[in-house]
Amino acid sequence: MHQPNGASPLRVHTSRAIAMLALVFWGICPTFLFAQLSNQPSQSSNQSPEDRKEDSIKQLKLKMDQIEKQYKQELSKLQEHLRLVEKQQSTLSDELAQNVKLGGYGVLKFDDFQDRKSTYDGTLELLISGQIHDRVRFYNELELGIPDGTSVVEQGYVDLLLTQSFNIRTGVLLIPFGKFNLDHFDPHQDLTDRPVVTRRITPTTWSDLGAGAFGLVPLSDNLKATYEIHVINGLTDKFTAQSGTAPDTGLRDGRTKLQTDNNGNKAVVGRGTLKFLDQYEVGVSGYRGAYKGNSNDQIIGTALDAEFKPRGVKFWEDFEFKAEYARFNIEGSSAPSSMWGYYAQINYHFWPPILNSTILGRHFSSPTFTLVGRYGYARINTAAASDGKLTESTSVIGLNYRPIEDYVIKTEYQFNSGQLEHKSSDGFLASVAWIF
Amino acid sequence: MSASPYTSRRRSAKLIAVLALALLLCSTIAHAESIAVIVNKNNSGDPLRPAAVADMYHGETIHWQNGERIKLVNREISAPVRKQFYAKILNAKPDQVFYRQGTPIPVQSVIERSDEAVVNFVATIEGAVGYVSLSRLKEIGDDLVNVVLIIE
Repeated sequence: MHQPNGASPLRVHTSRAIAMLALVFWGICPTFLFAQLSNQPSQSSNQSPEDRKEDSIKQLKLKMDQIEKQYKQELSKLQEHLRLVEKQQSTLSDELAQNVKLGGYGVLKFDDFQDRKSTYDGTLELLISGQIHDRVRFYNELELGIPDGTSVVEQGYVDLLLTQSFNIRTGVLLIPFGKFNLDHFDPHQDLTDRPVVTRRITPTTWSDLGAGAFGLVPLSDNLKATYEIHVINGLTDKFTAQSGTAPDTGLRDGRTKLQTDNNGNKAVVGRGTLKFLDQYEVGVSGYRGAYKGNSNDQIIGTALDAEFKPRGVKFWEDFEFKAEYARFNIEGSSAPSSMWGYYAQINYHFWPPILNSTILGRHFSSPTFTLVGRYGYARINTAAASDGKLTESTSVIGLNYRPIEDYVIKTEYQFNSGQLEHKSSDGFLASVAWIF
Repeated sequence: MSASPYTSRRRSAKLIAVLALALLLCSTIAHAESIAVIVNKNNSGDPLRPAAVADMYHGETIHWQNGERIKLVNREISAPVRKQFYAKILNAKPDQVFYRQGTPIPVQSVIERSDEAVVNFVATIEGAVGYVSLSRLKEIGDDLVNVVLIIE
């Protein structure tokens, strides 16, 4: 192979490679250079500084528009998300509101009567309510066994809500006989001790197994009628006393204690009310049922109750008036043969503004004092008593303080006369009651 | 030159009269705050009577006519609008507890702490009913809900 100038073949190859590379580089390089130059002053030298500024502003505006558009899209997404979260939260709180609710109430009592040792007493009750379905709700009131040590179901029913005027209730029912039995919660009452008629005549707290119906019938905008009627096992004959020996204690011991019926006959009990302006309520109750195991002798009861709470009327809106009358006739029994009683109570709610800045009023939005006066009487006609009857009358004066609606400190003094419960022993009572 | 006692007395009388008028106007304006009872858009926008609204908050009416459960919305006890609503519609103090008809179960409601929150809740939840200041509702947007009663 010819080698010019005596150069070695390796050098020749190297020279050729370098030449080729140089050619390739020369062919490509100008493109780069031109591309570079097109953005360099050689081209922009055709535009004035103002034009360049305008271009920059336009570009900035474009960028701003893009950013704004992007921001709006993101904001809209966030708002949508927030709405969804709010809706979920609301639905959740709504669901919580209608599902199981646990509550309760308690009372600690102190009594000091003239003829006995002073003592503390108490009650603690558990309240469980809720909805199984939009139209099926339940309610339970369980006494937790203070002071007797035995837990008792005072209410435990389920309601099937059909219409405003007709609903079905079954289970352990609070007997609709008189207003007091239905509204017996201590924190709702303004005095510590219950009226004698609701202890010895109507055996509050009176519950029984049964089924029935309840509803509300609007008669006009301001007048409504309500009813509650149940078929229950009914009172038993365990209240009867041996003539001339044991003292009568009224119908308290005749309650079934939620046991099976002692006879095949069911008792019927009901209460109807008329409510005017949601302030004035008048109720009528009735009871009829056989009570002996092997006889059809009946207990027949009637009760009347009234509750007036004037509102929006100057002066009178601070007052509240309650009264109840109950009577039972007992067929085929002389001890007792009948019993009746009543009570009337007036409450006066007040709050001296001067107390707003004191410890009694400072932390509460509407604290209240209530001055209470009550007179009650009960009579049991019974052959077990030497003069054929046992009576008791009670006059009570009390004062209570409610910093909030659900907490109350009560004090009262009772003047008693008779043979039934407190006999003729006067006494001082105080209590603290709360509900949650 | 000092004013005569007669002129001074007249001026005082005028001043008192003007102040009294201003006070009267202020009280009238304060008194004129209207409340709107609002329901969800999916509920009927037919007007409700005050007694019908009261029945809901008293726990006596618990379902709408279409069978859906009524979801009550309330303001906190200290809210002036609640005080006004309770006084005018429920004839009660703002901390009054109502019980479901025939039970010792307290009527439950969702508590919201502003008019906006009430409107948002009612606008979002079907079957909800609430009350707000009418002027605030107009600011928030009354197209979000149906107004079924205006309480003057």
